[in-house]
Amino acid sequence: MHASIFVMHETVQSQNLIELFHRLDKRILTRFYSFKQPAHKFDLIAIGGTALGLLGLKKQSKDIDLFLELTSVSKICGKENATEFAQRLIRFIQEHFDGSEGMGADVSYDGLKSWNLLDFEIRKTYLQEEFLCFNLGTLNLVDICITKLVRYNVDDIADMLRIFSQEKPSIPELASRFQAYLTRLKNPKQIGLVTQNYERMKDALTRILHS
Amino acid sequence: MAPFSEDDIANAYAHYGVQLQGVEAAENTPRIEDIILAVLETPPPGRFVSMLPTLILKNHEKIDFNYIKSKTNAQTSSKLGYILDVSISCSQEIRKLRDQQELQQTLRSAISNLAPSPLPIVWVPEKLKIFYRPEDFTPQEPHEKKWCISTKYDLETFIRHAREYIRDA
Repeated sequence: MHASIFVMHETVQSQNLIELFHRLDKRILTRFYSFKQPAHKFDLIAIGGTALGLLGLKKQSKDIDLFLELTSVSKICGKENATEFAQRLIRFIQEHFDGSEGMGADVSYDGLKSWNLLDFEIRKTYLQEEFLCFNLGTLNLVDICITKLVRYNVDDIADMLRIFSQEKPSIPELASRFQAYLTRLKNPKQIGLVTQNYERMKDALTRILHS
Repeated sequence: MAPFSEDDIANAYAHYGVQLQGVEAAENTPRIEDIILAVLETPPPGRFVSMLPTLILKNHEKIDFNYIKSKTNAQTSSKLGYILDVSISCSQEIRKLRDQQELQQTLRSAISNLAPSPLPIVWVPEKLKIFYRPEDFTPQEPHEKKWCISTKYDLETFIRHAREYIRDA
């Protein structure tokens, strides 16, 4: 016999996000580093809805999406290969967010879903909040919009609207970042689709700028 | 029916078991039928449309569908038919319930007398429409074609969102 239960899907409210990162910080210090903290911190960049949550543009976050900057890892990995260290660190972070905190985490060091960002200079802003083991930042808002151009679903567009209500980039800035990202698409067959969606987003921004 | 703000609707969703925006359920929550009508008429940005089947599945026993139908116009009536149809499909994918037959019967009964719109309906939050071209609103999915509606959500998204809140055991 089957029974069905409705569960209250746990979402983390934005104000609790920082607290989640502090718990992660302590866990990395005690378990990953075994209290032998390196002199340098690594850079953890929140992307997508997580970034919007940290910036107060979204009230809740369903998952935690993070980008670990490999260049920052190379300063702390010692004799270990930076990529292997990053993979080990990512596994640790993902195991930390195993659902017991109410959500999972998607962490990568080489790209964001459809985008290959290895050796790519992403634009980011560091949060003022201090952590022991890492610097926490958010991906630039314009860059967040561009990374959403592959999927471009209603939720992505709602996020774009939130972003454009906060920050109104110029069209040349948008175009410049789009061109930079376009070379980073993992699947070149998506260039047409992404360009089409970019034109739609640009038109929307143009209307917002003139309203 | 008094117009509801986005926060009012989010609060009501939370009250009825679908927490979307990190808000707490408020006291004096409007009746669920009026909330459904508000989303049928003018959905705010956010997952209000895509979570409507979840809201319906979670609360089907307390929803007075006749009340909703009595308040609909030609457009919202078609939207209601569409979302009930999608809700049935979601329930088939997600729920393994002893009362599933009863649930689906309730929804099928509610759909009766509802007709597809003769003209295409765009059921997308008004503020988001500027991100699309007119041709983007051609109904794509079988449910959309049947009811002549464009939501920009596919059935998989409705199901995925419902799965986040409903667990089979």
